[in-house]
Amino acid sequence: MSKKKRIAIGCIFLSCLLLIYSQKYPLYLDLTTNKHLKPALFLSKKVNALPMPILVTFFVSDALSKELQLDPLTHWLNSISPKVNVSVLNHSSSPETADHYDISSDGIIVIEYNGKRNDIDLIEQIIINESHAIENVQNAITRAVLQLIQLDPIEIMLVHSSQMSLLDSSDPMGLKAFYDHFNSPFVSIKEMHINDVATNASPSDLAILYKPTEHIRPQLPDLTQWATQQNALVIFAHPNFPDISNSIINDPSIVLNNSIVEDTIAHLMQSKNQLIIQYQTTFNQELIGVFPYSGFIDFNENNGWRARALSSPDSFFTHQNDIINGPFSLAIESKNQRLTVLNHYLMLSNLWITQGDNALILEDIIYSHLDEFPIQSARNTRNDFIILSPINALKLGMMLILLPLVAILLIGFMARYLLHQKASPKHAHLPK
Amino acid sequence: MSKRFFSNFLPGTPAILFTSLLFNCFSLKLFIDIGNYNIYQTLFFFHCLISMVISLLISTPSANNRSFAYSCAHSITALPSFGLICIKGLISPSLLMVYFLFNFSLILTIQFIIAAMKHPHPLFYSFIAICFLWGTSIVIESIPFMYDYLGPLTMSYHYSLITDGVFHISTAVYMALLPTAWFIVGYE
Repeated sequence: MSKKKRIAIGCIFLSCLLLIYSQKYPLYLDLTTNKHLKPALFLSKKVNALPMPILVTFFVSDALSKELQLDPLTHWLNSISPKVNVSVLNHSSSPETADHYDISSDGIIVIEYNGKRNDIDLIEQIIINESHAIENVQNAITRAVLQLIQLDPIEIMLVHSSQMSLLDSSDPMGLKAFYDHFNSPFVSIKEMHINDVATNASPSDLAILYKPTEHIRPQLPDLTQWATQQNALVIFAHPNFPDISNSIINDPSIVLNNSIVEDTIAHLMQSKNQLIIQYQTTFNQELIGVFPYSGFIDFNENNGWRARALSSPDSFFTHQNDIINGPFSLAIESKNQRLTVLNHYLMLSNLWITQGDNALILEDIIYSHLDEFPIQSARNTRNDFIILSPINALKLGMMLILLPLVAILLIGFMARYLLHQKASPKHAHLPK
Repeated sequence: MSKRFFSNFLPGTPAILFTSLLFNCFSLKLFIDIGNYNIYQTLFFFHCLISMVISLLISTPSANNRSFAYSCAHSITALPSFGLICIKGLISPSLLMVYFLFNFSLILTIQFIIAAMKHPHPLFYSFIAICFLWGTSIVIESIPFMYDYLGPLTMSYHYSLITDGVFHISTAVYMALLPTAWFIVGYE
């Protein structure tokens, strides 16, 4: 072997080592259409300031990893900060580690920081995420990391006019199921009577005003002032008393109506006013909720409001013997994400929170106010579907079969012509 | 338009027509079977493997500039299918460009592998070499420690990165390193 060749092989060997070593660094270009794999600067700043590393362990089988295309996620996580340590394990081939983490099923992401742990169930993510968009998993990871590194738990204050505790009540109209669903080491839910709002002025991270009725009219000035002081507020209005809620919201561009919406088709068996509704989440997912006894909300989209829940086109309400047809807005949100208004209150109760996707809808409403990170929006997949009509099949056939053949033949003829024009006598005859 | 390019391209026009039919009929089948435009992962895999096989067959026994140009011409006949997916917004033009650069790099590597095989059966030995270069990561992917070190040296590892939308600096180095390494191996 010549000396030159030995040096060249040595260089190749060194390059291979460099290539292996470079895997540790997130030096990459994001080639995706919506740039969702580019390093999350917001999260980088937060994580780089931490005194300890964050451990992320994926317990996924190869099949699930391929199905969800999780490989790019590890690159994205590594790109956040050198303080994020990612490992991928198969729970069945690493039973000791899975036992240590008490993992018995496929598709769990365990995120640990400073002795605390927050889990993400990927199967749950798939169920609510039809298109299997990786962006929604990224949002869930971001939320979980931010919850882990926060110093104090997020505080949610429920304000109501009941004399009894609603969060402890297991009655069908109590809110214990809501409390059990949301109360965690990272979220603390408290309740307060409407009479106490004047004395308890300190705003919580999120306030929920539940079922304001005629009884609270004496406290209306205090309540209106309290509402303006809140960082974020969700109002579950009583549709029979819209003027109370309208006074609290105090915005002329939004009017809650006391006409109860009914539906001829999209309703539960028991009653036409138990509406089956469509809800659009902040992550762009479609959820199906059950909204019983709801009034509609009239609002002006140009004044910073958007509809989150809509009744079906078959819905209607009766006004002075006239039938007004839907769809109607049943939940709206201000575009600055400070206020969400629902013209009904029953979905929060023990009886209704388990119906349809109501729990997920509540989760979305609450976290849309608490999430303080840029949401990775999933690509809209509606245009991906091909309607296989004869004309569409013909168009595809033309584009994929006929046009390439014509193009190749044309290039061939053109090339033959050009070569005949320009070729010297030596090259005039090409090999056949 | 280069005269040399056309002189390489022209005699194989009928074969290129058939390759175009192969790639685009396969994508048409996928479009119809799956019912949406989200077929790019399957199509990338099919295209990458078939274009490598075509290059191997075209370039054996003697690989040269002409066989490289001819193999690349075969490879780009799948462009209508990828173009359609790109227009529908499922993959970005930059991903498509990087993928084809990677594909051409693999084709160039195949030329150098064949040139390096000083054996009466270069096709067989080149095929085995490519199988090892492609598939080692598939064999060792369940062994985390080995995969971390040997995975980045295989074709399928970088192919997966690119098709997932990650163009890592190591992939760019690999695209240059792989043909260079085989050129040096075959250099006398």
